[in-house]
Amino acid sequence: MELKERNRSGPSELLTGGSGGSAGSGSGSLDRATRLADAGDAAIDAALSEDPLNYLAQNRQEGGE
Amino acid sequence: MAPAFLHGLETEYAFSQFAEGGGVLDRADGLRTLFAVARKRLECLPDAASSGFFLGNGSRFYIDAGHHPELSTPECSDPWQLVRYLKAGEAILIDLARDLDEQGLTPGLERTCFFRNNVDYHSHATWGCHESYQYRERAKAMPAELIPHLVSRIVFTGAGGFDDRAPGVEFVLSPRVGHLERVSSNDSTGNRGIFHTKDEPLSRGGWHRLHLICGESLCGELSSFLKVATTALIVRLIEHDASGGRAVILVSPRATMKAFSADPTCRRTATLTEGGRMSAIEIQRHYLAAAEASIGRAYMPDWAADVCRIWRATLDRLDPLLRSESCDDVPYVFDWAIKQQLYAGHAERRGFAQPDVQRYNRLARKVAQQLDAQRPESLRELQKATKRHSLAQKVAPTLERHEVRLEEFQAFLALRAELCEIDTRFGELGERGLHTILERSGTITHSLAEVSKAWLQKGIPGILHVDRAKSEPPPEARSHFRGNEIRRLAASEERCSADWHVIIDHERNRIYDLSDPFGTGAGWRDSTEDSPLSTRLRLERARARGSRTPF
Repeated sequence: MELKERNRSGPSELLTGGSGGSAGSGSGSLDRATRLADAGDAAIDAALSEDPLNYLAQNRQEGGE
Repeated sequence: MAPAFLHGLETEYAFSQFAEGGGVLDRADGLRTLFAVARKRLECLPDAASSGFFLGNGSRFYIDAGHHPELSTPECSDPWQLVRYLKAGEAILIDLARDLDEQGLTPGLERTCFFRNNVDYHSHATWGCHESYQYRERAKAMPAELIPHLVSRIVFTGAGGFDDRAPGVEFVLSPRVGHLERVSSNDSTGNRGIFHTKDEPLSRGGWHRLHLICGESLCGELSSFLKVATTALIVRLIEHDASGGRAVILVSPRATMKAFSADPTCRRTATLTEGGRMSAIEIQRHYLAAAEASIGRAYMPDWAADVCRIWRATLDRLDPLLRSESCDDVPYVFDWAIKQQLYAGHAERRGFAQPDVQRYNRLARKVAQQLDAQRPESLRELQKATKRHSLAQKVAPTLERHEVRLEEFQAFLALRAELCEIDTRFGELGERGLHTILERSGTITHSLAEVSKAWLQKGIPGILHVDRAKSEPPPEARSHFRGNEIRRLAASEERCSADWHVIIDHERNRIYDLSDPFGTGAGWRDSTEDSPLSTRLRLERARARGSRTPF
C-alpha cells in the first residue's frame, strides 16, 4: 500500500508504470517496483541505523582530482 | 583483420577507515598501510615516474591528488575487456580492504571502505573516472562532433545523485555535470570541460589519446559498458567522417547538459546549430543510426554490431519517456533510475512526496539567498544556520509566508542529509554497498549478460573471468607484455620499475620498450646513454626517487 501511495506522484511514476502508463504498467511491473522499494527501504534503514558510521561526514575529501 | 582499438579507464575511489567506537582514522596513515599491504599481496613493480605500482594484470595503482587511491585499467582492445578489468580492479580493492581489516596492522580499526562516488556532498570535492580512447585521424573534428554525444549519453551513463551545491533535494542524472565549467578545457582539477583537450599519447606511432573527464564512476555493468562502447564507436566514426555529429551540434552544450541532467523524464530538448530541437534520446538515436550504417566497414571493429544491438535496445527502453509513458526496465538497470526510485521512495517515507520536495526546494533556495553573508555552501551549514536563534528569526517570515514551520523546514534539511548519506553508501564496494545489496536481492538487473538476454532475441556476450583478470593481463597489445614481464620480475622489484611505455631494469641498465601500443614487445635491450628514451628514463628515475612514498 505504501508503494501505491508513492507511485501516485512525481516523475518516478513514469519509470515504474504507476498511473496512466502504457508499456509496462501492468501488475507485474508494480510487483517489481514493490520488490525494489521494499528491498531498497530495508537496505536504507539498515545503512542509516549504523550510527556512528556517518559516512558522508567521515569520508569528507580533501582537494580535488 | 579487425582494426586496432585501445581504451582505458582511470577511476578514483573514496577511501575511509572507520575506528572502533566511532570516528575515522587518519587517511594518509591508512593509505600508507594500504600500499604496504598491496605491495605484499600483488605482483607488481614500482611506478617509474611517480608513486604507486604497475600490477601484474597490466594496470596501475597509485595515489592521485586529494589522497584518492586510483586504479587505471590496462589498455584494452574492446569494451568487454575494459569492463572486465574495471571490475577486476574493484575486486582487488575489496581484497585489500579485507586484508587491512583482518591483519591487525592498524590499531583501533573497525572497517576499511572504498566507494565509487563522484561528488563529496560535504566538501564538494570530486572523484574522477576518466576515459582514454586511442585514435589517429581528424583530431580537429573531434570536439565538435563528439560533444553532443557526451552531453546526451548521460541518459544511460548518469550515476544519479543530487546537485551538491543546491540547498535542497535536487535530483540529477549526473552529479558530475555541475562540476563541468567549460565546453572545452585542458584542465582537470578546475575549470573542467565537457571535452578535455589534453592529448598525451603515452606511445609512439602518431597516435592521439582522447582523454575524457566528464564521465562518472558507475555501479551498473551495462552502464559502464555502454559508456565506453558507444564512445569508442563514435570516436572511430569521427575519424572516418561518418559520425553524423555535425548535424547535432548544440547551440549551448553546457546549458544543454545541465538541462538534460536535471530532467529525469528525459523529455527536455535542446536547440541545434543546424536548426530544430532534439532530446538526449533523439541525439543518441542519431549517432546510433550512423554507427549502424557503418557496420561491416573496414574501419569498424567486429564487435560494433553487438554494441549497436544493445545500444538500440537501451534507447528503445528509454523511448517511452518521450511520450510520457512508463518504462519497463529502466528503473532496474541504470544507476540514476534506480537511485531516483529509491530516493523518491525514501523522501515519501519521511513525509515528502515529490510535489512537496519541489515546493521545499524553492523555499530552500530562498532561505539560502536570504542568509546572504552566511550563505551556506552545503546543507550541513544551512542546517546549522537554521538552528541558530538569530538566523532562525531572520528566515521565520519567509517560512511563514510559505506556511512552513521551522521544524518542518528542518525536517526537510534532515531528509537531504539522509539522502546524501544514502547516496554515498550506494556505491560502496563490497557486500555493504546498497547497489550490491539490491543486486544480490535480485531486485535490480545488473549484468550485461542478464540484460542483453532479456532485451535481445539473441543475447550478447557477458563480462567473463573477472577473477582471473585480477592477476592476468589482457591477451593482446602492450598491456599483455607489460603484465607478463611484471609478473616475471615482481620478485626483483627493487631492481626494476615500470611505466606505460617501458619497463626498466636499473641494475642491468636495460629496458623493455613498450612504446608501440600494438607491438608485441620487442624484448629487452641495453639502454644506451644517448637515446632520448634513456634520457627520459634517467629523469623519471630521479623524479621517482624523490616521490616514491605516496605522501
